[in-house]
Amino acid sequence: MSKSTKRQRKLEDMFADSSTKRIKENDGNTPNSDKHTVVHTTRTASTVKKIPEDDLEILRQFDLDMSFGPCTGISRLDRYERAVRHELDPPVRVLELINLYPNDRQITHSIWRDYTL
Amino acid sequence: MSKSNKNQKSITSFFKNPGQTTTATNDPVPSKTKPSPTVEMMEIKKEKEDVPKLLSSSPPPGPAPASTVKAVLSPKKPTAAVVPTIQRKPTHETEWINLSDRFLLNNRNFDVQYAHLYAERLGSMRKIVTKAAENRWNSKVPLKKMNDLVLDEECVLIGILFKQMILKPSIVKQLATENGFNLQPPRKRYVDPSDKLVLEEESQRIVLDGKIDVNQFVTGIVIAVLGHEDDKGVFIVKDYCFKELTIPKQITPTKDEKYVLFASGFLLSETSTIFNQLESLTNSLAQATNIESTPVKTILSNIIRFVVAGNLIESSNRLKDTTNQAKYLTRKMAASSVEAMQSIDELFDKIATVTDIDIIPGVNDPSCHMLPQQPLHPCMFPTSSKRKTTHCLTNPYDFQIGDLRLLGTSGQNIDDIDLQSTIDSRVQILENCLTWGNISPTCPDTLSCYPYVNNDPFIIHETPHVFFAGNQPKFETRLFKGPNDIQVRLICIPSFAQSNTCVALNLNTLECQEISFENQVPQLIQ
Repeated sequence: MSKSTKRQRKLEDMFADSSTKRIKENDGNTPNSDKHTVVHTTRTASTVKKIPEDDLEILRQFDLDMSFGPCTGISRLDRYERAVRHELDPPVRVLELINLYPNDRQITHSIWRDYTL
Repeated sequence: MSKSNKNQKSITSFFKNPGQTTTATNDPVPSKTKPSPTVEMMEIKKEKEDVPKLLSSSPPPGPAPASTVKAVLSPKKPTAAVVPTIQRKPTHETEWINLSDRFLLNNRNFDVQYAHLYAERLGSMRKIVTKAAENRWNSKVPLKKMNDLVLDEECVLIGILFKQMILKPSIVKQLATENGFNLQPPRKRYVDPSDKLVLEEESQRIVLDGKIDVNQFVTGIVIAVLGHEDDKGVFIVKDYCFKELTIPKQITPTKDEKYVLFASGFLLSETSTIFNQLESLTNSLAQATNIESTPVKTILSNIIRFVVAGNLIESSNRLKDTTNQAKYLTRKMAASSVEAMQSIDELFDKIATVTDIDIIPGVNDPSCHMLPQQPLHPCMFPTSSKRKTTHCLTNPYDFQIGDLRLLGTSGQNIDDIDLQSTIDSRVQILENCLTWGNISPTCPDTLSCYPYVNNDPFIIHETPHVFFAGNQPKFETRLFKGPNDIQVRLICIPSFAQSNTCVALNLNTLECQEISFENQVPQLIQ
């Protein structure tokens, strides 16, 4: 798509979807840990910071561990708090991860997050 | 703000205020609803802010339930997310303190399953029951989890009981039939000889057999069992125990005799015949000094509180006929429950001039169906709610008068346990609820209740001095004597519509007497 004429650029800004827009906010000064918050749509997955697979695995194991009770319908933080309240010693890494990515639903909610009651 | 949040705000702000005001209900309704939307906003905002600031403790939410405290999320120290309401020190000897905050529902979230309530029940009681088990059977017997069971080895297991009953009405079975009809008519009891008890833990369950009588138990009790697993995979029980009762505070007797009067089940409707008896009740309370008989005179003139334990009006089943008729035919018909509530309002107005009155909703009353029932809205009591002495409260109701702690319900929990077991004496069921450590263990299995996630408000953490239930078939009372000199007065309050009696409790001696208002002159029933 040619970006030469001013008029064309204006039209693009109005009608183009965000994946083709030039992403201006992401300059070199933003630190790595904040980059994941700049998410325009799901199609810009390349700009989201990749969460290490090991961490996701720890979270998945936390969900599937039955000793902490049922995992559906509540956030991981609620479940962690409940485990702490009942003195079940849940893995601390789960809390750290929730702290690091408070806005990422993949971290804050269980693996069954997309399935309703 | 999302749509669901908005709806929640409007519904909860409508019902929120009755329970909040524990003292003055003098202000008219509109001014009360003003502060609540902002409080709701603050609570919702605070919950969202809490997520990033995790390592610092968050401030407790607004003026609403003062007893709940948010968790300190440091990984080292576990703290309670919801503190159960602890008995407070009264400022004077007959001060009334309402401890029912945990039964108030502020944000209603029905997107969760009931499994969390059971997980919370087992998780919070596990430690206490473990201690009780260690005290009863010495620590030589190992406490095990179900996946560590070894064949024929004696050990202790802790879990929640589940009773498998084939006669229990099941919506799944009902829907499986072609027409969706009820497979069986409602029965007096759903007990069958083939019932089985199963002990459930977080991950596994095991069938129980042995020295445990299936008919004496219901679903939802947290229990510790001693026994061994046999080769068929059944756990043979040798002995069992529940959580230990905490010792209630010592009551210091007051200088004068003080009484609390309990009543329940007025069941008012257009066909009520108890108006004469109600008049006798109000006259006796208002002009107590004119009564001739001395014992009745001392009781009725020293009443400091009148507790109405539910079922003010008759159940509205008959109203269903009008819903089948065309709207234009039923336009001018007022529901009979409206008139009944008006009569109740007049009655309470007369009583409120004499003493403080506590109104608890019952199964027939216009409050929510699921436990805990929220306080009846004061707009239904236009005249009586203007007085400072009228209080609308939750069901179950937990309160303190001076040093005495009282806990009770409108009877749905007792009636439900009666349906699911063969315990014949209602006061025995009350005693069992106390020893099992739960006001209503059959919630949410056969008695509908709110899907709690963070706490189970039905657990009896602190033993009350008085435990009552309204709307029972007849007056029964017992002084339960437990270990460590624990004494609890158990009261089954009869339904006024049938018995025309109220129950008077002496706050110093914990003695209970039934007073009949059948005739113009109140009489003590010996």
